[in-house]
Amino acid sequence: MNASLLLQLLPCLATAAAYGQATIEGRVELPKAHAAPVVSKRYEIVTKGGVVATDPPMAVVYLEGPFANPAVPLPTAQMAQKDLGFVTPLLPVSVGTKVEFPNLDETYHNIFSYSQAKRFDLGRYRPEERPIPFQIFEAPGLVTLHCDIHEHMRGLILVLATPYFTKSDTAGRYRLAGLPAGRYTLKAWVNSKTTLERAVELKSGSNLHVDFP
Amino acid sequence: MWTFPDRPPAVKQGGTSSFRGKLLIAMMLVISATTLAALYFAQRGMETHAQRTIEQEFQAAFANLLGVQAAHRAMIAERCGAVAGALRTRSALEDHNLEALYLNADIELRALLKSGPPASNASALRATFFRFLDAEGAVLPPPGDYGGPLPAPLDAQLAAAAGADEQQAAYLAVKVGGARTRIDELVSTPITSTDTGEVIGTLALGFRPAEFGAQFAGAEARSGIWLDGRLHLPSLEAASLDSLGQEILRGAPSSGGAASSLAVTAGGAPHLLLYKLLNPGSRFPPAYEVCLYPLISAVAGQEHLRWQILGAGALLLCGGLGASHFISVRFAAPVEQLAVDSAEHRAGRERAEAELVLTNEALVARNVELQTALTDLKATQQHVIQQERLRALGQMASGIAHDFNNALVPILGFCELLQIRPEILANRPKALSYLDTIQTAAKDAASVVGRLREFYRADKGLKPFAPVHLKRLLEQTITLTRPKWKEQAQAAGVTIDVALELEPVPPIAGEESALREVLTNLIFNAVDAMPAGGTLTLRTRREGDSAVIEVADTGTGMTEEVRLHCLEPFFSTKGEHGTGLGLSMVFGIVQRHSGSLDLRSAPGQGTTFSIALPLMDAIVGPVAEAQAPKPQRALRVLVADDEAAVRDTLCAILMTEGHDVTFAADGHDGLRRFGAGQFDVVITDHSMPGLNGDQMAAAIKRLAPQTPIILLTGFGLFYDKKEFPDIDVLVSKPVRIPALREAIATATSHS
Repeated sequence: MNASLLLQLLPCLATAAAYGQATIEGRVELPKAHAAPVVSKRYEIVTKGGVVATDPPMAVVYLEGPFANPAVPLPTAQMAQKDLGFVTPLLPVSVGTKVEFPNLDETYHNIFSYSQAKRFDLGRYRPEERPIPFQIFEAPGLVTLHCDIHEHMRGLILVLATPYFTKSDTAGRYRLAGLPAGRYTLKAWVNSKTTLERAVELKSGSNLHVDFP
Repeated sequence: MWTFPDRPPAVKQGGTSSFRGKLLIAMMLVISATTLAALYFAQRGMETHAQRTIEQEFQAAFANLLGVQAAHRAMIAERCGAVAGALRTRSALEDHNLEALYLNADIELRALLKSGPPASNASALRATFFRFLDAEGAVLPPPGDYGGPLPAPLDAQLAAAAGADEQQAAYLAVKVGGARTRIDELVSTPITSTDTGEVIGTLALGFRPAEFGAQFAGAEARSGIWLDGRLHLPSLEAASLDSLGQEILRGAPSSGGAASSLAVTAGGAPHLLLYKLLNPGSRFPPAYEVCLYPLISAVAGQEHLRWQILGAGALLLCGGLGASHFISVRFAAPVEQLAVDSAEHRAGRERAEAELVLTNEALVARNVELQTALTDLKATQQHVIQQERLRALGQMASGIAHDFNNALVPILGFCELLQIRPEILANRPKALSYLDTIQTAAKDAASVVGRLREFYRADKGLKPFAPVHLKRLLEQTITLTRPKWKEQAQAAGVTIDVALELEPVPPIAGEESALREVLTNLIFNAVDAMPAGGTLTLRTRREGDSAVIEVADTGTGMTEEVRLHCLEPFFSTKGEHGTGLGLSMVFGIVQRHSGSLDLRSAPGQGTTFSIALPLMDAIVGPVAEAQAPKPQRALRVLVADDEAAVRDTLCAILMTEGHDVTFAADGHDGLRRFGAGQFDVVITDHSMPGLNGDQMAAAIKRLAPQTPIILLTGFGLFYDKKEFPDIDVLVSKPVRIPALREAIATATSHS
């Protein structure tokens, strides 16, 4: 059944491609890294691989528009806990995506979120917990993840109501390809307080360059 | 003598008794003052001490109260800190999940909010409410009844905590019906973001201040809070509260957070008020913990103490006054005695001082007398010295006359013989022998007169030292004194032998006439010391750089006492015959010659005087050289004399010397001839008719000042050259060839 769905979907994509797909690229100016290194010594007792370094800031650039929810099931995403850190700390997903939270450390983790977009508390679980604890994110918004045991751990899942999104590199450069023509709003999520946006008009086969800000 | 009325010292009886009274009064005053001062200081010191003790007690109690309250507050603050710092609290606030936020906090703080009945355990931790505030200070409303009831006026006051990054202590007034208010204590704790670390909200927890007053601050103390200019002290009436509140407001800014004290009146009674800032550095209005301690018991204690001190002081004063009376009586007695003694002393001293003044005047008068006597004595001394010399002259005069007559005998005799028997002149050898005898006799006569001259000259001031040949001096002197030791002795029937033991010695530097006087004196003394005859010995010898003259006799000698004093002036053993000046003159002259006088003598052993005089060679400095007669050159000589015999003799002598001679019969003639010719030297007699010798000399000097003039005079020994300013050389008659030669040489050497 899955295969037939895929087969149904493929012509749609092909027609979109036949219209000519637009591309946006540019650069988002990123804030300086503010995350302080983890200083708490008590974690070193429970981990062998050390504490995962905080990732440098990155932006998520996505195109907002009246896109219909894809009928096909979306691929499952993962946000693992490894070396007392989230891998990766910033995860953009489409609405409806199932995210698994595998524990790759040899200690308990307790992932929870108080965010409006998704409230959950996975409770304490060990690496061998099966099935792997997961959540399906139905509402768009930012979900802040914490570990009740390791207070320094902080992860972000950006649930987006669009299939067109990408993560910039650490210098802020991004490229969005395969975009449909039309009038949309291009948004750049920089951090939990800052989301920049720009109205764009995409034409078939056009290649737009947008820098933020 | 001066005498003073022997009056008794006047000491008034009233004076001493008044002294006693004064002493008593003074001591009483001193004792009273001391006692009062001591009482004052003792009372003040004890009061201060008591006050300080009480204050310290109260301070300690107050500190105790503060400590307990601080511990209470710290426990609550710690609990709040734990809640505010919890990850779930932070993330719930961050995500604005109020339900989760209050639920979590409620789980942590419920124990505080709901614990037991308040009355049972006043010191238990009891919160009244808690609230979360957002970053702007707005209260985040709790879902349901989480967080307890928040009194209405407080929500506005809580906003002050917004944005603070530290825990804050606050005290807030809560109205509890009517005019009554309650003070709630509040701890606000900031909550930080899990993302950025920024302050994103505040946890505010209100609780009742622990009511520890009676338990910790002391039984009588009343404790309360001063907030916002108002004092909240439950058991005090409103009027007192207001006035005390004002007082704290005045003192508080200067206290700087430390515990301070004020002495105040509350409810009409004295109190000690202690207060301390409770929330230094807080954003909320300052609040002070206030404790009021009644001082009534302390004041009563002080009153009691004061009475005790006063009683002790009174006793002390009475004792001191009694003692002062006793002491004044005891001390007054010796002082009264002292006053009597002192009056006597003063009288005695005044008398002695007056006598001293008189004695001093007498001494001054005596001193003047002594000065006068000394002056007289000096004059007398001069006079006596002169007399001594005249006496010696007189003694010699007879001898001189005798000698002179003796000398004249052969002269006259042979002259008469030649006049009676002119044929003898033909017998040349015989005539020559007669002439020799006459010449010798004439020389002797001349020397006799010369002796007189030498003696006379001795009185003429000090002369420059010249070479003196001692041998010749001694021979001359012994000859000169011959009348003393030969003729007078023989006349007295004693024989004195004279022995000359004269070793040749180099000349010494000295004044010949003075030394001759020395020797004459010593010889006279020696002769006088030998009343039974004996030997007079004169010796000369050389000892090193000195020539020694010894005059020794074999006479009676001197006793020790005489030997010690014989050189002193006016010391004489000769009674009326001596002046006592002879040896002292001798000593003076020897000293003037830088010589030394030695004296050896013993009774019956005779006396030996030794005089040591430095040799000429030993004397440093220029000494008048003995002028050897220079070879004469031929001179043009003008001779003026009214006596032809003298003129002829001079003519013969000068021509024999090879000079060119011109004669003049008198002064006028001489002047005329001088004007007619040219002369190297002029020789003139003194006494001449018309123009005498020195008048002529004066005239010649006016014509030719450079021409030397020699004056011949029979009175030469009585004159001094200074009396003839125009004369260059003075020569005594009779003129001898050597003397004339020397005179011419001297005169011409000047020009």
